[in-house]
Parts: sequence; C-alpha cells; structure tokens
Amino acid sequence: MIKFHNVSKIYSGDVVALRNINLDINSGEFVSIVGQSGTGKSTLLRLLILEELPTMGQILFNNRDIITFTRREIPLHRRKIGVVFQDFKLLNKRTVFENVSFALEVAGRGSRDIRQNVGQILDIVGLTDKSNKYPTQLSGGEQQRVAIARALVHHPEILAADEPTGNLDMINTWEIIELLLRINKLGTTVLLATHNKDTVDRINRRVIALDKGMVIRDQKEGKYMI
Amino acid sequence: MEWLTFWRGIAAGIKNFFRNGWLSIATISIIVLTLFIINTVFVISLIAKETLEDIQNKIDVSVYFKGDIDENKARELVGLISKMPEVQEAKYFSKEEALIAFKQKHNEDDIVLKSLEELGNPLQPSVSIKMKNPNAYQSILDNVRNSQYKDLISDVDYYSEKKPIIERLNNIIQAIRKIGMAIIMIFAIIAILVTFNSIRLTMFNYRREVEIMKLVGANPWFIRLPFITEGMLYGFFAAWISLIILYPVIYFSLPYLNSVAPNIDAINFLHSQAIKIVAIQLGSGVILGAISSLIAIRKYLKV
Repeated sequence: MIKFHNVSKIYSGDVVALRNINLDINSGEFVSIVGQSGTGKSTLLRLLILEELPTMGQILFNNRDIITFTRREIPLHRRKIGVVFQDFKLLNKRTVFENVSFALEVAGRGSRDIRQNVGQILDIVGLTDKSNKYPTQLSGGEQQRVAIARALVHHPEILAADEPTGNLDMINTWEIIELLLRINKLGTTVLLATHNKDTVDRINRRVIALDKGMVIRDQKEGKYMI
Repeated sequence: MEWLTFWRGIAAGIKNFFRNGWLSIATISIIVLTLFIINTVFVISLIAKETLEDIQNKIDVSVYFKGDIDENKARELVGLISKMPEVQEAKYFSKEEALIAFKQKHNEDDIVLKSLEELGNPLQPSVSIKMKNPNAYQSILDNVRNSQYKDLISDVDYYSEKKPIIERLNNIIQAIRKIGMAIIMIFAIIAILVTFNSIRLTMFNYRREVEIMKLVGANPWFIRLPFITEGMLYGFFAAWISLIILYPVIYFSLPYLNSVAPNIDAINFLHSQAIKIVAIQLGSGVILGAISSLIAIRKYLKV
C-alpha cells in the first residue's frame, strides 16, 4: 500500500533528516515507528501527507508516486490519510462536534451525512456525551480522542499518529493506544510514531526503528530496541 | 456539492466575522477612519472649487465706446454679442444711463458731484458683458476688437483689470483640484496599507485554522473563501459607517460652510453625489478587503 523507495530528505545546510529509506507497508498493518527525538519519525509522516517533498526517492501510495501529484490532487490525497499530533491541533473556538465535522465539511459532504458520521465516530472514541463541550473543557486524553475522531471521520485508509501520547499520562496513553488498536482492527492501517518504550512493547506489532535518519531495524513483532 | 462547499465557505466567513467581534471592530474602525478622511477632503475640495467658480462667474466685463459714436451702430454690436452662444448677458449703457448710475454711486460725495456739473457728461457709453464661462472672454473680445466695429471701441477693461483676476482664480481652482487629488491619493494609499495590514493580523490569528484545514485535505479555495468573505465584510461595513458619519458632520458644519460659500447646498450636493460615493466606496472597500485577505492568506497556504 505504501512504499518508500530510496527516500532521502536533506534540509538546507546539509541537515540529513532521512537517509535512503526503503519501506513497504501493507494495508491493515499496525506499524510503530520508534527512535529518539530528531531521528526523522515526524519527517517520514510529513512526507507521506506531502507537507514536505523528499529530496530524493519515490513514495508510492496505492502504486502511484505521490510526488507527482498536482495541487488539485494533494488535498484529495490528504483525505485518504488521517493525521494525529502530539499537540492535538484542535480549534478551541469550536465544539467537539464542530471540530470533527470540520473534516467532512471540507470534503464537501452533505449536512445529514455529516451528522450521521460524526455521531458514529464520537461513539467509537467514547465522546458522545461531550459533543457540545469545547476542547478547553476536556482532559488531554479526551482532546486527543477528539483529534483521532477528526482524523477518522472521513474513513481514511491510513491513520498516521505522530507522538499522540507525548502529552498524556500512563492511563490516558494506554487508552489512546487501545483505541488505535481497535481502529486498526476495524481495517484502518495505523502508523504510530513514538519514543515511548512501554507502549511499543505492549502493542507487540511491527516495529520500525530509526536512528540518525536511517532504518536500523524492522521487526514483525518487535520490541523497542535501539 | 460544489455549491454546498461555496456556501459553507461564505457562511464560515460570516461566522468568523461575528465570532471575532473585537478584531472585526478594530479593523473596521481603522478603515472607517481613513475612508472618512478621504471623504472629508473630497467634500472640502469640491466646495472650495464650487465657491471659487461661483465668484468667477460673477465677473463681468465692460467694453467702452468712444464718446461721439453713432448709438445705433453700438446697439447693433451689442445685439450681435448677446446672440453669441457663450454670452449669458450683454447690456448696453448709454452715456446718460452711465451718468445716472455714476451719480447714484457717488450721491454722498459733494466734490465729485460738483465737478461733474462743471464738466458736463464725461462718461462713455458702454456694454457690460457676462459670459457663461469666464474663460471665453479672451477669444470673443479679441474677435470684437478686430471686427468692423473696432473703431467704435475706446477701451475694454478685461485686458487691464479682469483678465488677471480670472486667471488667478483659475490658478487657485487648479491648485485646489491638484492638492485635493494628492491628499486623496495619499490617504487612499494609507487606507490600502492599513486595511491590508489589519487583515494580515487577522489572518495571523487564523494560521492554526488554516493549518488544520490543510491537514484534513481542504481544497485551497475552500480555505480562502471564508477569509475573502470576511475581508469583504470589513470593506462593506467600513464604507457604510464612514458615509453615515459624513452626513451629521456636514450637517453640523453647514453654518460655517454657508458663511464661506453661501450659494452651495452641501447636503443637496451630497444627495446628488450619494449614489456615486456609495458605489465607489463600497466597491473599493469590498475589493480592497478581498484582495488584502487573498494576499495575506497566501503565506499560510503554502503546501
């Protein structure tokens, strides 16, 4: 489904973020990308949603090189990938419901369609009773669940989470991870970038370890080891 | 679905406009202020121009005939002059009429009256000419002076007295027009810069929103639409408010205006120009708002 072929990302001033990455991620996988801060985990995800372009190499998504996408195609590509960040990126002036429905409005979906989908997804993340609250009235874990709901509401093929538990305590962290596992079970490919050893060890799924911009390990049922 | 997206973008812009009430008010007041200055300068320069033209139109020119001419020939010339399209009025004053007018003018000055009695009637018959456009005197008087009637004429006060006055007024009117235009231009540029900058600040507040819109795969035009709508709303409201302020200001300054320019009805003038002013300001306000937001949002829209 996703293929990184000899991908390198070099920023100006010879800062190498990624070096010669070759990856093959299949549909339905749950992949943890681990490594210390600054090893290129976030860059990998940013390349995938075309927030940045690789300096070299090819990134194939469903057998198409995403680098060749036109301005028109980029938004459509992004709708196939839900993204979650460490800092949630919610709009504080909008309610939980509005934050989630936003993603569908953007895609030009009808109002009834939106109500139905948002209701469903809020049920999955367990926030139905909070749908009229504002993000500032929620706990960190709840805010991250709103972000996940927003990322999932348009049924993307991939959910890419960049340190989603970075700001959360242990209990909330595990709740989020369980939610991600459940989402994966429902058929969405999940990419999880994290440096949290405990969570990765407990997930017990494929682990890709990065160090200094290179893949140093790729294991089917991996542990966090560098 | 395209229309749905379009309306949602516009609705979002209207919602943003009211949700960020204070920011909107601040932006609008700055635009109102500059528009108001432009309006004021425009009105003042127009009134000044009209006043001066009014004065200019009061000027008349006298052509004096020689004392011993055939009166019929002189009247013939006056008849010809008054038929010219540029001439508003041409009036013949005979020697006797001139004397009566002169006596009336000096009826309290005994010395003048006494010396008149000794001299007889030293005054010349004349024709007083008033033209629709003060700048037409020159060519017509030149023609008269070179015509078959030239032997009748002894003097024309235009060349020595009236011409410099008309020319000076002309210069002042030109200067006022130019200065007014320059001030309006300067403030128009200020208005554009200020509007652009306040909208840019507003957009800075929205950079997060834009970032998220991009992340969830919003079409760039869908992202722009709310901001363009908001910018247009700024321009729309600012234009109306500045016009609404202008009315009472002119109304209360009417006594002063009338003491300077008694013949000018500023309120009526405003009424007659209102549609033009509204159209120009609304148009420029809305376009300015839209373009400013379009440029301001570009920075955050980079893919």
